[in-house]
This record gives sequence, structure tokens and C-alpha cells, in this order.
Amino acid sequence: MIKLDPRTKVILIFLTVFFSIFVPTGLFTCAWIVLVTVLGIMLGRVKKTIRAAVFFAALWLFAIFILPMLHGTVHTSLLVWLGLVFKCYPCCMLAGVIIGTTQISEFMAAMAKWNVSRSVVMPLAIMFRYFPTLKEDWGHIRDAMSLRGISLSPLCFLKSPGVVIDALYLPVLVTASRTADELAASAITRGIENPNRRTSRLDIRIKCVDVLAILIFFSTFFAALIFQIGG
Amino acid sequence: MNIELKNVSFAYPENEKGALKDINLEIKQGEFVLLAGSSGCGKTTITRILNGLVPGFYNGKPEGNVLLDGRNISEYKSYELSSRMGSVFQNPRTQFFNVDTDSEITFGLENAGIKSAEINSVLENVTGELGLENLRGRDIFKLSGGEKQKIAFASVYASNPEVYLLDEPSANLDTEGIFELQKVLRKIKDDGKTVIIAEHRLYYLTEFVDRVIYLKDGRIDKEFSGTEFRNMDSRQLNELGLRTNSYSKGKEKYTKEYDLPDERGMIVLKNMSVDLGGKRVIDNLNKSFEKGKICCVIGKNGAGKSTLLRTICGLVKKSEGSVLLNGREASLKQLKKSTFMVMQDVNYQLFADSVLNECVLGTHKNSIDTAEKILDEMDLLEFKERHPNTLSGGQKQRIAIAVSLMIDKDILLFDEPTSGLDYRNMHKCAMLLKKLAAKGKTIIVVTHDEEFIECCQDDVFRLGE
Repeated sequence: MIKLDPRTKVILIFLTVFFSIFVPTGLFTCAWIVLVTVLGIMLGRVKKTIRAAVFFAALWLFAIFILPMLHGTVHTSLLVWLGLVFKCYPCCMLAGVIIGTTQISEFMAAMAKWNVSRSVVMPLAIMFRYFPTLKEDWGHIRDAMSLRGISLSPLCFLKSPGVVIDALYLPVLVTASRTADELAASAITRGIENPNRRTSRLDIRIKCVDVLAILIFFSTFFAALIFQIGG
Repeated sequence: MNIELKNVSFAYPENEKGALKDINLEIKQGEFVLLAGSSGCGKTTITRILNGLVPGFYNGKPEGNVLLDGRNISEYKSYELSSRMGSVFQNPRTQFFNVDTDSEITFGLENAGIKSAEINSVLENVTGELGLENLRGRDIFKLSGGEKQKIAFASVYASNPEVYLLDEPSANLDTEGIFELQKVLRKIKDDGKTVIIAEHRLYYLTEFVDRVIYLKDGRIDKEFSGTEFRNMDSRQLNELGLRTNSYSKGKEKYTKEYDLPDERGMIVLKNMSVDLGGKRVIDNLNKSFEKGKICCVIGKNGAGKSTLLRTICGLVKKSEGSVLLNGREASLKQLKKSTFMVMQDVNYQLFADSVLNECVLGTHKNSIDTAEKILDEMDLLEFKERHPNTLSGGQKQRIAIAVSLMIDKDILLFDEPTSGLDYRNMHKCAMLLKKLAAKGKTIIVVTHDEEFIECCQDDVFRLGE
């Protein structure tokens, strides 16, 4: 298992974004997914990374073997949809790996080293913190809807869309704004407004692994570009 | 630190509750001061003035002087206060900023920019002194409420403040969690720290209290010494709207799991087991819940209390055994049709724009008369045009109950209905449940509130072990 500096992870995200922009979908997309998979496993996120890779492989095989057998609108719409999915998949998968393996405090300290202003880092940090909260809330809200005989099924939605939307967004809004308030209050009493540079209990430094990871991703990106121009 | 409040008054801009009027108070280093009184009496506001959240975070203009060691509090920056005043709040879910426990404990130190090596040595000390070794490196979202609250304390403890400000830290804890909290408080008191605590549940504080400040409508109404407080009996306390100062473990009237449940019950569970995520949460349970009775379900964290409620509501599928409704095996759909649960956080359940609309939502058009009758019964008729979110916790809870009566459910389930309620509201809730039971409803309450159980015990049932 390895550990990467959050700054390296941000660089890898940018490389992946550039890759998606400049390199057309093809074998290099698969190579990139393999890289992300290896990275995810080495960072200690084994199960979810493998699941994501297998899902990608299934879609890819579907595009190669089953898609050509289809015709008409089904073929076109699936083609467009898959094209979009293949474009976004590397970024989303890497983002999943990074969010799952980075601690909020670690991220904040690393950004402080880059002198990124707090007004940029804070909202990002809060977003990290909010996802699991939303997941918890979601379970409760689904229960609450079910108790009132409202379900998220398309049938129920068609019958009374207004009720379903109200039942969803109001509780999410109310609980989210309360959570945000309480979170902010508690962060303030713990000195988050201190202007000193933030430190971390973790050792945050760019090490050999970081350089190596960036080199591997960069050379793959470079090879893909050359190959594309050459071929 | 010596704390002095001189003629302090304060009002929140958009809320008449929680205002303070002409407070004069002096607290010496090392004192353990309890702020007591009904909901909205202003006790939380005092803690907010001392940690700077009023006026820094909550708007409004405090009048009078607050002196910390003789220096006016307005001269301190929020982060200067944070190193001297440690705050722990009531909701364990929303007071941690990190997702893992280690980072949370060191959060304050990292904010202050302390060197990495020092942070790590403090982290070791704190976990050692508070006995948190088994909570190191955990995902906070997977901890119980009591464990979360311990981490919140540890996080404050790490910054080594002189004063601890606690705002109903026990509100969302079970009995076990409360005793854990008590241990931490003992440690802090022995270290000579000042503790200022606003709280409804008092029994776990009785041994520590040096002084009780009793607030009423924003004024200091009475003051008791620790000894006076310890000598008060429950009648005197209840007259003031306060909860008991001594722990009573119900009257050990617990009914064990019945071997043969009474089949005439409204809901009968026979050899029922429930698995969640591949783990057996409820194992081979036999129990019947009768019509017109209140059954309190107690049990430790993770004993499956919430799962039991969710199974009876038809939100979770049982994996073995049977659930009988009126003597017949019931499907999830049938269970959903005849049950309603009032959730611990009732905010998830309210989504209409007025109290009246909440009641008639999803019912027939001509139900307004019925709704008004039910709201009257729930003491809510005067609020029928108000938005549910502008009402208090107890009132919101009664809206949810009104909804259940509107859709005419026979079985009502409650998940911790009295957590965070003061004595009067707790008592009101108990009386209401009794009334519902008398109307022939079957009532199942998951609770760890001993006083509440005392108020309405028909049947107390311990789940697990």
C-alpha cells in the first residue's frame, strides 16, 4: 500500500481531465482505466476500485460485441450515451478513488502548503464532509416517504409529482441547512478562523512515489498524444 | 479563568425564545455550574455568549459586559477564545468536521498551526487519558452517538481549554452513552477545569454540581448550591419543570422475551429474525404488542431497536419467522398500511407549507374538518396556518402524530420521542401517548428515557441479551 500527497492527487486529476479532452476514446482509455485501477488498489481502496473497473470492462465489451448487432434509434442513442460515459469514466473513477482515500484534514493542510486561500479550500472540504451526511439523510427521508405511502417509483411520481418533489426537497433542504449551521458553529469554536498556516499531524511531503505516479500518468498521456498525432 | 457577566441582555433578531434579560453572574476557575430551566429559557444563549458564537455567528446585539479575567470578551478573536473555551454541543452528528476520528481529535491543534510532532504526542496523550484507544483511526460516521460525543470531548480536550461549555451533551445519548460522558466529566472536574453546562437531563451531573443557576424567561430566577440541589426531591424539581437528579432504572418490571406470545395481540412476532447487510440484527424474537397499551422497548446500542421498529413498519423485510397482524401473517404492504412511525428526527417527515396542509396531504379533499378536529386535540389548532418549521420540537412531533391520526393508523411507533425534551414537554408527550392508547391504538416506543418510562409504563421490554 502506498500513500500519496493530496497535491499529487490533484495533479493526477488534472492530467486525467486533459487526457479526456485531448485523447479520443480508444485503447488508451482502457490503458488509463488500468492505471487508475492499479492506483486505487495500491492506495488501499480495493473492492470498490475493482467493481468500477469490471463495470467499465462490461460496458466496453458491450460496445464492441453487442452494440453493432443493434439498429435504428436504439443503436444511435446507446452509441451516444456510451460515448459520453467512456469520456467521463476515467475522471469519475479517479475522483472516487481520491475522495475515498483522502482525509479532509490532510487535504486542507496540503492546500495550505500550496497557499490556496481558505475561501477556496473550505467549501471543498465541506463538500467532502457533506456527502456521507447526505447518504445518511437520504435513508431517513426514504423511510419517511414510505411511511406516508409515497415512493420513488415512476408510477407514484407520475400520479402526484408535486408531492414526491416536496417530500424530497424540503427535508433535504431543512436538514442540510441545519447541519451546515451546526457544523459551522462547531468549527468556529475550534478555531477554524485562525489566520496562522494550518498544519497536519500527518507527514505531507512530495516523495518518490508521488513523482513516480505523476511520471507514469504523464508519460501515458504523452504516448497517447504522440500515437494519436502519428497514427 | 474568572468569568463575569454584568447586566447582560440579549435577544435573537427573529425569535422571541432564548433571550436573556439582565443577567449577573460570576464563575470562578474550577467551578462546575449547571444552567437549568425549561426549553427556551436562555440557558443555551449563555454558553453561546461565552464561546463567542453570540454575536459572532448568531446575529443580535448583546448588551452589558462579559469579562474574562477582567478583559472584555469582545477584545478576543474567535480563534483566541477557542483555545481557552472548549465547546461541546448537543447533536453528535453535526459537530465533527472530519470523517476520521484521529483528524477530528487534532482538528483544533491543526487550525492553530502547531507542529506535526507535537500534535501527534498530544494525540497519544489524549487518547490514553480518556481511554479512547479503541476509537483510533475509525470512520466517525460508523460510531454510535455516545462514541461520537466522546470524540467531540477529546477534540476539545486536546486543545486544553480552561473552561468547558456544554450544551445538552446528553440529548442524543442512550443510558450507556450518558455514563461514558459522566466518566469524561469526572476527569475534567478532577483536572480543575471550569464546566458550564446547559442541560435537561440532570441525574448524571448530580455528584459534580457546585452551583445550579435556574433560569426562567431569560432571567436568573433562583440559585442553588450543589448540596441544596442534591437534597431536592423529585416533587420540588418537577414543580420547577426540572427532571430528576437521581438515576432510577425503572422498576425492573422488564418482561423478558415471551416464550409463547399471546396470539390475540395486534402485532405478534413469532421466532422473528432480521438480517441487515448479511448480519443478523434481531435473532429469534417472540413478542406480542397489545391493543390499547404502551410498550417501551429498551436495550443497548446496536441491540436492534430501530430495526425492530422498521420491521414492524414494513420498511425492512424479516428473514425468518412471522409477523402477525390481527392474527394473520402480514405482508410488507399490509404492515405499511396500518402502522406509522414518528421518527427521532421529525424534520424528515414534515414537508407541507402549513400545519393544516401537512395533515390533509394525500387524504381526501373534504378532510379539512377532520384535520381541524385532530389538530385541536393535539393542541395545535392555533398554529394551523404556520409553517411546520417555525414550530418547536415538541410541536413538530405532535404534527407527525396528527398526521398518523389523519391517515387512521392503528399502530403507532415512536423512536426516542423525548430525547432533548424538558420535563414539561416530556410529561406532555407521555400523557398524549396514554390518551392515544386509551383510544385503542397500539403504541410501541423505543426509548432510553427512564423518567418517561416511569410515567407511562404498561410494558417494558428489553431487546437483546
